[in-house]
Amino acid sequence: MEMAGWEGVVPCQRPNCHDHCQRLPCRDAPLRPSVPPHRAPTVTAKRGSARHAIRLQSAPDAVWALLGAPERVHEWFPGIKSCTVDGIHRTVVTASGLPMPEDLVTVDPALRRLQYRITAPMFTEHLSTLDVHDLRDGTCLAVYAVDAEPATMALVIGGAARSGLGRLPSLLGLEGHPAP
Amino acid sequence: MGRKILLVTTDQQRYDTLGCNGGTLGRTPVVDRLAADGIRFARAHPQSVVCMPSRSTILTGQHPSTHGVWMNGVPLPSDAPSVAAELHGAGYRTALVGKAHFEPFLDPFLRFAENSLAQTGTEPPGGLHRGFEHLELATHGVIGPLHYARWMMAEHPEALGGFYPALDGSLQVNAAGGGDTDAPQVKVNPVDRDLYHTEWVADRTMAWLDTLGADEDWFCWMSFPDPHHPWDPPQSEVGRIDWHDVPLPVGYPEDRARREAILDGKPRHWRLWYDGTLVSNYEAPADWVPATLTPDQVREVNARNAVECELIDEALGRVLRRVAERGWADDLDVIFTTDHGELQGDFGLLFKGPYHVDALMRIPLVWRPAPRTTTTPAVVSRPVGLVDLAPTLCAIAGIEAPHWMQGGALPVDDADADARGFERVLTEWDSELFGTDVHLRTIMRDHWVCSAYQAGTSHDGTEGELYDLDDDPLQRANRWDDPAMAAVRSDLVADLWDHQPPAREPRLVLEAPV
Repeated sequence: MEMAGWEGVVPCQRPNCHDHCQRLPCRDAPLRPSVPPHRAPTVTAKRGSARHAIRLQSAPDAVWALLGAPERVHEWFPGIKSCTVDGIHRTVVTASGLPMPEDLVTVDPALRRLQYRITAPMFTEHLSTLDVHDLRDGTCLAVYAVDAEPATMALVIGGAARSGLGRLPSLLGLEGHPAP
Repeated sequence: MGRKILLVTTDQQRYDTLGCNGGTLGRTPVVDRLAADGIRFARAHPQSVVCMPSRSTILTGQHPSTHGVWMNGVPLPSDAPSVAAELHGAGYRTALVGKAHFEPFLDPFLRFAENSLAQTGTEPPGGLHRGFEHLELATHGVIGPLHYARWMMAEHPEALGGFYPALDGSLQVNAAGGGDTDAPQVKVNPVDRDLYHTEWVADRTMAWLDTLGADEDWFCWMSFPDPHHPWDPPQSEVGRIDWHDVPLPVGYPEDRARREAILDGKPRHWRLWYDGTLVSNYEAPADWVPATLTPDQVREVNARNAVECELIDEALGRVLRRVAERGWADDLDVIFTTDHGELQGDFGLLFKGPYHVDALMRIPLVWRPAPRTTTTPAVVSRPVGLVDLAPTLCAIAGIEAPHWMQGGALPVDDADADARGFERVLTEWDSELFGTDVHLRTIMRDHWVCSAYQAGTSHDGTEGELYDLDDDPLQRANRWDDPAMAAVRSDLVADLWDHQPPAREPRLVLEAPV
């Protein structure tokens, strides 16, 4: 019997699975108990996370003045043709002409945290979080984190944000003042 | 006047799809002729079995660890070394037509030059991009910012719907089935053959050649997106090969119990992927379970793949005729190869991934030197790699290979290979995707393929694969844990680590899925 040795097998329910596949475990099934995982295994997630950071030789408030201003996102985030803000709603248009409607979730100058959700239909879920941390040594740490479904968009947005963070020393006039 | 250079690459083409390599399914008389007149390499390996790292190796002449593109989605830095720049600096006119993929495709922000270039034309701002003065780019479909897609959207919008959508609504590699067997990444495509990207690549190559003066030296990288999936060639051509008549590949164990026993003898991620339990990377549809693959689906995929190989061969023939019409035939070097292979039913699997076996690693490579050089035709059995292409291009152009190239100019026969130390070829894999990571390093030497795994999601770093190609050409019996092979394994692993290329620092970052 093919299923011998399996426990808690969930028949595959995916649209492309049929015929004998119905007798197989799907991706949600447990690993074969005879082969213990080295680390907790994962399947390709539907929801993805990415995080990037840069340490800057700058007071945090100077960095926050740029990153914390929703209407200035096109100044540092690459590939944005235009940006308009109306209350909690922001719309950016990418260089490829793709409009991205967004909701501003958090703009907290005391915490130096900005969060926004992209509400375009292609996203089941999205949350980007920008934090500027005071490292109390004359430097600060700018962190961009993104969670998204589809997972692939976390990589795409995170990758672009990373490029944007990399432009900050130039945009803020910090070139020649590398952070330790 | 120097030698002209036509570098022809396909995408994801197996060694055994060419007639000169023993293939019987598709007809490839043009490449077969080049092989008969030139040098055919029987053991050429890529340094990565996915597109971006492998293509970056062709361009830079460096192993993935060194150029830094360790997986699809990691962009090759714009200032990375480039053999095209070397040739341009030596006075060559340079062009890349077709699939580049040194930078990620999924790029709504158009951050990457390949994706933004088509908005402005075919000549990059500043005059050169990676050493190419002319770029006309395409990929596997008709969606996106590249030249071919823009041309199709503007001129032939009625044909767009015939193509298979490479990604699904979740931006995952599409698992949807089609054709007669509901095989994944298969679709009936009614597009006119003249509009298909294979023809477009040949047409645009010839158009660029037509702009050149008769006395100019040139290097053209003509890069066909096929036979990489999706398998949606023009339906008018699909009838060339009736899939019902296609024999199952020798690498496909039809008996399921046998198939699964073979997989169970390999490191665990093989069987986990087969069962649909672990998807380690973005190179195959996440929502497709390989265990569902039927013999008829294997037949249909192989038939369509062979049709795509035939179309490429015929397109290459058209370009070579145009070269002859321009009076360049005696001066032309042609190199034909691909970036990596395709599982295509071997072990009951399709597509590609961290599986260092011949299906993915043994690739077609033919070098037909310029006829005026009167090179003696040969078959080279010694191991060579795509890392050796860049120095070969330099040698053809009569320039010294720069110090940063890690390979050597391809040997012209086995004696030349032995004299110059072509003993081993290395391949590497690193994937890290949403918490799942796989790392392996492989050496092919003598008649052995040996892969050592490093710790990752599914491996503790003690696993490996060892195959004796003489006794086990289908790589079904993993001898890694065979006590009788301990000395062989130890020697190969030591050789593998002794010859690892230097790693780029800092490590480049994954910026997109593909």
